[in-house]
Amino acid sequence: MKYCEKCSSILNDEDSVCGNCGTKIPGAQSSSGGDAGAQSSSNPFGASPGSGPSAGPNAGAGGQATPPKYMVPGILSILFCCWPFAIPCLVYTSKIDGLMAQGKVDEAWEASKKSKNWLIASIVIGFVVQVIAIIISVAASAFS
Amino acid sequence: MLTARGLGHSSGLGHRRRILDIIILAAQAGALIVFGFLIKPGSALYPPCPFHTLTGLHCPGCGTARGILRILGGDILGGLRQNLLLALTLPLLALADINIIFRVFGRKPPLPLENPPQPWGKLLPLAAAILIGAFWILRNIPVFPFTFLAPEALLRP
Repeated sequence: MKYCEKCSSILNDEDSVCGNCGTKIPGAQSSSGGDAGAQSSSNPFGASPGSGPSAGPNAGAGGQATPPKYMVPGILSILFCCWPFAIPCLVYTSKIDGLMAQGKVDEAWEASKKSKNWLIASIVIGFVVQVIAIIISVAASAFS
Repeated sequence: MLTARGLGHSSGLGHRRRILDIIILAAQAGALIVFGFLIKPGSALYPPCPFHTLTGLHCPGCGTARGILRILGGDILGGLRQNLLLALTLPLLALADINIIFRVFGRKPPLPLENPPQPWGKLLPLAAAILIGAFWILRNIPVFPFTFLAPEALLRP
């Protein structure tokens, strides 16, 4: 199973662009067999080996791109949003390198996706709670 | 054709990323101006820590705003004392911003913050999670050496 580099949604093998966000999939044409996308079937050179793996800026040793990590925003969101939901974000990010080293690319991308979701949840919940807290604080001071 | 696809891919990704980067920088500048200069602590508009308000305990981020205000006022040690993790998070924020500024101007981020050499990619996030968790617990112990980790009272005259 593959995941979109940009939005991390699950891709079908035959897709040449992400069904969720429309990002072109690097290496989509490198999948073996005749089920490559229409774009690469119109371009026989698209199927040449080596064109896919070089597309990612952080392609790993096996030609598989390392999924994005969220350590720095995780730490900063805990300390500056005053909200600890980003601790799972750090834990999932810490798993990525080990999973990639074991060749478990799918699980590494899954960990990256979970890490990102916890980060977003941390920031959004932190922001919403802060806004509510300010409203309550202002209301309390207005009625006191 | 291959080159065009490669360019299209990277520029599409970079466009979204750049908007996010600019939002992050603007949010930081905005927060600094609003909470550093426009609104003073003690105002009803100053955001209280929800965790502290509900439980009376200090969260790992409690004291961050107080500390930054002290540091802006020139009292660096007094500022760091409000939240000792500021000694870690303020430099980290500065380094992250260097990377972001490079990306906004279309350059490659110079600092390998998210992809340190092995085995730090695994150890650093775990160490950060454990450090933050330990700090959270220790600064709530109301006995002498640990009371130093807690921030000073919120509304100091």
